[in-house]
Amino acid sequence: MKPSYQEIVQWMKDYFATYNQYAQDAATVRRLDEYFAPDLRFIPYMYVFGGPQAGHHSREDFYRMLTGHPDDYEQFEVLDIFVDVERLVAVAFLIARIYDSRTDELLVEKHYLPLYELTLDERGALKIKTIRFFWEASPPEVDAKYSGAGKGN
Amino acid sequence: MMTYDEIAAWVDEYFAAFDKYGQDPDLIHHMDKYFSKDFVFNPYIAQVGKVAGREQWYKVLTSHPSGVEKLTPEDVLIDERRQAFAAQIKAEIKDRDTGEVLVTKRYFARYPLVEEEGVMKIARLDFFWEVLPPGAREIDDVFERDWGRRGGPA
Repeated sequence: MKPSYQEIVQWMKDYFATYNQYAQDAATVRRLDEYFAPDLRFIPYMYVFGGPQAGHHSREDFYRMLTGHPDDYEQFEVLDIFVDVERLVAVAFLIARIYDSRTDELLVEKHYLPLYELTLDERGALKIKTIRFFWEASPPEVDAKYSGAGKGN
Repeated sequence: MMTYDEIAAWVDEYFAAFDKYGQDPDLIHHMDKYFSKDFVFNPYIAQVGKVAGREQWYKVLTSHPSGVEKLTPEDVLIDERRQAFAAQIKAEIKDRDTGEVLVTKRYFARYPLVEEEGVMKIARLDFFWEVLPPGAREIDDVFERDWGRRGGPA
């Protein structure tokens, strides 16, 4: 059975809380299996991640990116979530903050507007199948602070 | 308030109207049907400022006569409960005289709607775009051909 509007909103909020806590540590990233389909597609609409032809074609590849920048970590603040319940699509309006892992100094702050195509797995559980990722267009010197960018991303 | 299907039809109409009227100073007021008086353009792009008010927005839209922006919505999602939609858009910037496509990139925007005089209109455009590599020809490189003569978009 299709989830309701409110169930999708809550599921997305739970996803972001789980992401903040577990997604960037190789020891805990598999907690995100609850949210990502194995054939997750990540499509970045910015050159620092290779543009829309690049990105990732599996959950495993995506995890390598998420855990591939130990010098810093990313935290999301959810500002708003839109849901198309007919199509199982959500759009999140976020502030992302990148912190230095050693000192917790704030390195970068910018807005993201990712779109999440959702699906129901064989058990009827929601999963993220595709992320189409747009972010605030900052000067190149700001984007250069994303240490995960350019490492096979 | 509009139903899901009504918003979907309205969005199709809006993009078709933008294509016909959205960049022509003689026809731009056809877009009054879609943009609220207090419309706000809210770009998340360095060096691009917010635009408050429909009339100011129209000045921006009609400020680049030598370059035409062709918008093709590739995906539209509709939040019926919130009376809002979001669209991923293929934008092609063409030279008006030659028809040559000078820039192609994707936009992603969300459009909260508001009721004005009994009909739904766009209250705000929260606007993101694909970030092209440094040195790539950008939209402003085309529009600035006109802005250079007047010192800015509006």
